[in-house]
Amino acid sequence: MTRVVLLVALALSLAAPVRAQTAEDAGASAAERGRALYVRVGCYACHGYAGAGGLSGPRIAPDPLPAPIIIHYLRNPAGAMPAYPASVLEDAAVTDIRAYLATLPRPQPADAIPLLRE
Amino acid sequence: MKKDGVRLSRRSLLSTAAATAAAGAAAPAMGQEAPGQAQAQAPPPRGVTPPSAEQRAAETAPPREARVVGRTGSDYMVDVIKSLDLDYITTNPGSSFRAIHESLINYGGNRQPELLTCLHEEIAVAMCHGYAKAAGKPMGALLHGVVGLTHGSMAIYNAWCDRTPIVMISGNTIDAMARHGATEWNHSTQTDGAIVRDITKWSDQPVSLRGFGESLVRAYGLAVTPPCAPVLVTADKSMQEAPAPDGLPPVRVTRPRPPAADLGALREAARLLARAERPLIIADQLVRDQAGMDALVALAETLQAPVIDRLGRLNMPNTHPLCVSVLYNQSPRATQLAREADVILGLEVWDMWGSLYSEGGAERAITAPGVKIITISTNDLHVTPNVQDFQRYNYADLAITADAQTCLPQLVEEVRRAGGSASGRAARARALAEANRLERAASRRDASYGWDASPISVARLAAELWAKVKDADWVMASDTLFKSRWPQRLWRFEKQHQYLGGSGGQGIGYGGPAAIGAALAHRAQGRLVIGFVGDGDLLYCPQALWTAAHHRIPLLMVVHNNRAYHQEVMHIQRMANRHARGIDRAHIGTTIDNPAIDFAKVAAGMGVWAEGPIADPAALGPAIGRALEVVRRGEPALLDVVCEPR
Repeated sequence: MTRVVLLVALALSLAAPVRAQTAEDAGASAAERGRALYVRVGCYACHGYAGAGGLSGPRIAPDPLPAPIIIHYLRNPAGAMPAYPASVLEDAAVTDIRAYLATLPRPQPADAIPLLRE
Repeated sequence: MKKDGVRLSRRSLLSTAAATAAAGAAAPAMGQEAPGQAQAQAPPPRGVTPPSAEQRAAETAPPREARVVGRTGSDYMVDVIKSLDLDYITTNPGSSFRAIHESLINYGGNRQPELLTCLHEEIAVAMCHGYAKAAGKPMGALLHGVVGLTHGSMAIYNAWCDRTPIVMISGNTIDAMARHGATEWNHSTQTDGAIVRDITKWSDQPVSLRGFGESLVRAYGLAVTPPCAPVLVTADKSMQEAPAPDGLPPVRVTRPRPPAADLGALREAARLLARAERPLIIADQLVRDQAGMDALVALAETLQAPVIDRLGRLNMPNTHPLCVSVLYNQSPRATQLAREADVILGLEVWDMWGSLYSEGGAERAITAPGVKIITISTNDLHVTPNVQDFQRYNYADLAITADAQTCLPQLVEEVRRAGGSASGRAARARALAEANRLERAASRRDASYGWDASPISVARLAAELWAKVKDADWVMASDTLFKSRWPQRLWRFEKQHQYLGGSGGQGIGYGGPAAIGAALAHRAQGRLVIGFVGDGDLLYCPQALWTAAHHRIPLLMVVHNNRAYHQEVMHIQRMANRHARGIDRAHIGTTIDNPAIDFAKVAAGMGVWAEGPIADPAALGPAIGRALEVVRRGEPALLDVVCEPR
């Protein structure tokens, strides 16, 4: 019986959604929380730490889509994007991640960067 | 020699040492004379234990190994090896080929081939892999029976998939009665070739020296004939070490011409291409030399057809207006061109199906109904029943089994003869040139995002490198796929030797040693070779750096350090998402952190100049400059750059 309880508890802990705010980051801003979440839930893996995209995912910063669109897409993705149902990533957490992406700096024009001039 | 007041001859000292060692005695040895004279000898001094009868018997018995004076079997084997015109032969030493090893360095003078010391057989073979693609000819690898061959097998598989010739020789003790001790049994087989039979073009275990000679030259010819591949000939240890009989004839290597298509098939292909309104060319493991690249450019320009370069080799200059780049199989522009095409020509395309079908969701063809598919390749000559690197079956209207590079000049000629609409081609050329220009501009724009971020963006790293190497005669010797193809997006790849393609089998561990092999091939021309390797890849065999230092092979090794087996991070992430659980645990078992590996210290420990970890993008340019000074002095250098994952 004890083993069954433990297994249920383990399953529940594994399935618990990633929340926007935990006790440790209660004082943090949405963007600060979003920055930590962005890495923790693996957005960086395909989109890069700076949201610039690459081989595995498109650019998503510094002008992220509106939060409702991101949330809808996370729940119903297409192509290679894995699904993030609400049971694993709450809407509020997505909103925090979006807040972080909006803080990332806008790049200079390529011609203003000497190494990128033709 | 005098010790403890007693005069000892060198000979007597050696024999005494052997005797005391055999008995496990710690008593000092002195006063012993040569075997056969001991009976007439005066009694030993006080305090010295005289040898037992057993010890005396061991000392006076005939030697287990007879001294071979004159030409050995291994000398003859070296004569055969020398006939192959191999500049180098790699090895990690092993007793099963000790006689060949000794003959190479003494009888053969350690020249043509020169023996290169490697610290793992995967390195020994992967160096051969990179070298062969860069030099356009194979080098050899000497592999220890069973254990060395098995160590090298991953690199052999990569070379097999990448159609690269390597001449491998393994040692084996075929006669069970000739095996000394348990270890030699463990390092022997009925046939070494069975270990790698599925991933070699041919293997043989000859039982006579004449047979060895014929087998090795046959193996060489098979290896270098497209589709090229590794070959293995086993050298029997007893045969290596015995005297060579007189009258062994010299052997001569036949150098076969590559298989070419019949003229009728090429004319039919040319007719289809010349009449096409929207022809498309896809090239993969096609080009072996500059002449091959020039021929592909001529074909593309004659047809004014776009060329999708899948970068199995550098087939098309990436600055050419007809070049279409792809990250892997496809890109939005490549997909659009495939959708619009009425005739598609695949040239040595490893995975034609992957270029023509979409796997996202429902599997579907991306081409238009009625499209004509032509293939010219040696794919069907490169299949074995077991390994599945032959990819999905793809229908072709005209499949020509031949070496595509060999066919190109004739195909160009036939296309010119077949004519076609000049006005249509001119319009197509203008549109393609504009699309190419826009694509390169988009790459520069994309590179600006995250420019000053840390970890450093791979685009920034590629741009910083380009600024420092663009005026040199440079070579990018590593696969750029997991670097999001940033070098191809920002650099000007215009000569065939500037890029070698990837590992072939996607087995990691290739990057470091293959780049060193390529650097060895380019050393004589003084080319600047850049290895651009992932951290996980280099960690399979970091000791390859020692070989670069030891043999003074200059190259710049840049570590794209994302501190993870990043492809696997994404796979675990995908599974966690699919199962809706634990999405924040994908780092477990996939990341290489805590502690982060200090590659500069690893390299320094191997005798290689190094800097890092570099996480500040502003520090990157100066560090590259310092590293290149080292490389220009003829030595290897390493930079550890903490980067974005891709």
